[in-house]
Amino acid sequence: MDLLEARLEQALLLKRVVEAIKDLVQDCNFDCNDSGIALQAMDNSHVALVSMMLKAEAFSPYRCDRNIALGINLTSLTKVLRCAQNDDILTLKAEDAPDIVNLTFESSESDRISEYDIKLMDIDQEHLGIPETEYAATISMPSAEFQRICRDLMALSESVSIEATKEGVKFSCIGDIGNGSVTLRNHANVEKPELNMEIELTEPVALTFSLKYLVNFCKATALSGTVKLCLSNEVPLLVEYGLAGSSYLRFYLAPKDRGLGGGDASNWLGSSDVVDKVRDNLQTGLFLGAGAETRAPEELAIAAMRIKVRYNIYV
Amino acid sequence: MRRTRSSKSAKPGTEKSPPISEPDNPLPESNDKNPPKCFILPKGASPEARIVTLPNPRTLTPTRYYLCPERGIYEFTKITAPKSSPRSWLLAPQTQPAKAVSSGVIPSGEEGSSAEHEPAKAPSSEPGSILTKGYAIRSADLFIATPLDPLFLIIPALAPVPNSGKHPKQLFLSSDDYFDTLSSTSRHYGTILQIPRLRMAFEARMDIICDTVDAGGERMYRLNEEKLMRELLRKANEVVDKGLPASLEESFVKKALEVPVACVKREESLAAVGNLDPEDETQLDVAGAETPSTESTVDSQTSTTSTITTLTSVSQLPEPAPFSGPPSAPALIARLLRLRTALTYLSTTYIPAHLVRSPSPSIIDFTPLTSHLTHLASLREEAFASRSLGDYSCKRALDDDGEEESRAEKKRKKEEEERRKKAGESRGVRDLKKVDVRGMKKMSDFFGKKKT
Repeated sequence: MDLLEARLEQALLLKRVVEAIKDLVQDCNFDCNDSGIALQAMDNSHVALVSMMLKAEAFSPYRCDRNIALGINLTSLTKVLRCAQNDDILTLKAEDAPDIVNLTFESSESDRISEYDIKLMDIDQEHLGIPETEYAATISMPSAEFQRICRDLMALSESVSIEATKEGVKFSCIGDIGNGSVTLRNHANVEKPELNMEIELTEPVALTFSLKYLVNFCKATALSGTVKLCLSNEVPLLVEYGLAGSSYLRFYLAPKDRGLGGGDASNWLGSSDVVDKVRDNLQTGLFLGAGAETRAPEELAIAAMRIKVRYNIYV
Repeated sequence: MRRTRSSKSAKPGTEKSPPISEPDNPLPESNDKNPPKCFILPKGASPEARIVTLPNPRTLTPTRYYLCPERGIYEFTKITAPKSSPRSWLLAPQTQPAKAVSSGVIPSGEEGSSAEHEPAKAPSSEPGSILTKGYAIRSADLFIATPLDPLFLIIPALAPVPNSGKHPKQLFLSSDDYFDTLSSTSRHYGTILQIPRLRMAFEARMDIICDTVDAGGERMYRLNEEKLMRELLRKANEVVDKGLPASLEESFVKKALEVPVACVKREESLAAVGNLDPEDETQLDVAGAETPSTESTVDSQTSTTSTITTLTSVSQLPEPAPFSGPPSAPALIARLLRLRTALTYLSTTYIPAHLVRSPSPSIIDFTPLTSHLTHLASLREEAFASRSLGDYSCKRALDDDGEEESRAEKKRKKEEEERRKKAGESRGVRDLKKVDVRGMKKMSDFFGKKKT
C-alpha cells in the first residue's frame, strides 16, 4: 500500500519546476505531507534559496498518509521527467520508508503507460524558517520581461542594481565596456493584463544582486507569466513565481554588500568575471553568451588595463 | 679487609661510614688536608724502601714510584672505586696491624666501637697516628705497587726526545753518562743510582736493549730499537701467555674478532678453519720471527733515523677498522691480536712516544691479523649495508604495498564519488560555483533554522 500517491494532470508542471530548480540545487528533499509537496533547498554557496510549494489542490487526487521526505537528485529526476510528454498524466508514488519513488506517465491520448523508479537518497538538509515579511517594495511584472532584463544586463556586468522608487524600477549595471540600465514604470494594460507592471512601495529601495543567480531564477519563467520581486534593505530578494492555486516557486537571493561587491565596486568584480568567462570559454571551448564571443577579448584587454591602472594608483 | 658502603662519603676524614648508630649527630667536617691513602706494598720490602718521584718514561711527568733497594722499583697502580657505587675506606685499629675497612653491613656495635677503641698497634710508625683512632677515607682508591722493569726508566736517557725533528747522532756512551742524564731529570735518581744493586739492575737491563762496545775497560751502550722491540715482544708474549686482563680481552680482542651475525657464510668458514691447531702455528710464526734477530746495528740505526718521526702506530690497535684479506685460523689470529694488544699497551704506557712504532715484519708478522681484520671489517660493512638495505627495503616494501593500495583505493573512491557527483550535478549548478559571492551573506544569516 502506497503511503504517497499524487496525480498530476499535466506532467508539464513538475517538469518545469524541476527544470527551474535543477540548475540551482543538486539534490533536495521533497517533503510530502497532507497539505502537499514542499521543497526547500539552498545552492552550494548558501547565498540563494529555493522554496517550492505544490499544494494538494494541484493534484487530483493527492494522498499522503504520513510525512515523508523524498531525497531526490534533481538531475536524475530531470532525466526521468524528460521521458514524459508535457500532457502526460503524472503519478508520483512512494511506499512507507521508501527506497525509491515511482513515477508513472500516462499518455492522455493513447494507452501508453511508462513507469520509472528513481532511487532515493538520504539528504541531510537544514530547513530555514522563512518568516512572512513586509517588503519595502513589491514589484509585479511579466516574468519574460524580468528574464530579458537579466539576460541583457548580464552581457555587461555580473551585478545588477535594482532601484525601486515611486516612479518605477530601474535595473542598472556598470560594466567594463560601459553601462546600461532598464527602467520600468507602472503600467496597466487592460487588453493584455499579463504585461501589467505594478509597484507597491513603502519606501525606496536600492540593492545589488548577482545577475548570474537572477538569470538562474529566470529559468522558472515558463511556470508563470508574472513574477513578483520583493525587496527590502538588508534582507534577501524574493523572486516568486506563482503557480496554479496557491502553489508557488520562490527564490531568495542575498543582496551584494555595496562596500564589497555592490555599487561601483561591481566594475572590478565585472572585470574579474570577464577574465573568468574567457578562461571558462577557453577551457570548455564553448561560449556561454551570444555576445561573449566578440566581446571577450577586448573586455579582457580592458580588464587588464584597468587592473594596471589600479596598480599604478595604489602601489 | 672489608669494604665500606658509606652513603655520606662526602667528607674525608673523621666520619664513620653510614651514621646508622647516631643519626642525629651531623658528621664533623674534616680539616685533614692530606688524608691517608691506602697502599698495598710488596711483602718483605726492605726498611730502606721509599716512595720516590721519578719522571714517567712515557710522559716525562714526575710520577711516584716505590723503590726498594733490594727488590727493585715498583710503580703504583691506582684502583678506583666505580663512580656508580660510592665507596670509602674505613681504617680501623684491630688486633692485627692491618688497615681495616668496615662496611655498612657490619653490626653497628663494632662500627661504633671502631672509632673509640683502644688503639691497637698501628702499622704506622708515627706517634699519635690517626690510625690509632680509626679513620675513614673519602675516596676508596687503592694503590697497588707492582714491579716495574728499570728498563723503562732508563729509556728516556738512552733515547732522548729528538729536538726540532733532527735526530742527534746516537753515540755509544757509558752507563755513567746515561745515569747522569737520568739524574738531571730527577734529583731522586742521584740517590737511587748510588745504590749499587739498582745500578747493576739498570745496567743489566741496558745490556738487553742496547748495542754495546767495550772501550778501555768500560762498557759503552747505545740503544738498539730492534732489540727494544724484541724485548717488548717478549714481554707481550708473556702477558698473552698469562692471559690478557678481562677488560682488554673484551674490548680489543673479542669485539674486534666478532663476525657479523648476518653473514652466515662467513661463520661457516670460521668454524671450518677453527679446527686447526692454532698453537703450533703461532709458535712457528713467532719462532720464525725470532730467527733474524742477529742484525747489524748499523741497519737498525738507519731504520731508526728514517722512521723516528713516524709516531702513528700507537693508534693502530684499538680501532677495528683496518682489517682485510682472506680468513685464517681464528686462534692464531686471536693470539696475534692479543699480542698486538699487549704490545701496544706496553709501548703506549712505558715507551716514549717518539720510539713507538709498529714492529717490523722481521720481528713479528701481523699481516695475517691485519688482513683478517680488514676482511672482518668489510664483512661487517657488508652486513651492515645489507641489513640496513634489507631493513629499508622490507619496511618500504611493506609500507609501499599497504600505502599504495590504500592510496589507490582512496583515489578510486574519490574519483568515483566525483564522477557520481558530477553526474548528479547539472550544468547550472556547476556554473553557479564560479559566481563571485563575495559580499553576499548566507541565507542562514537572514533566516533562522527551523526545527523539523
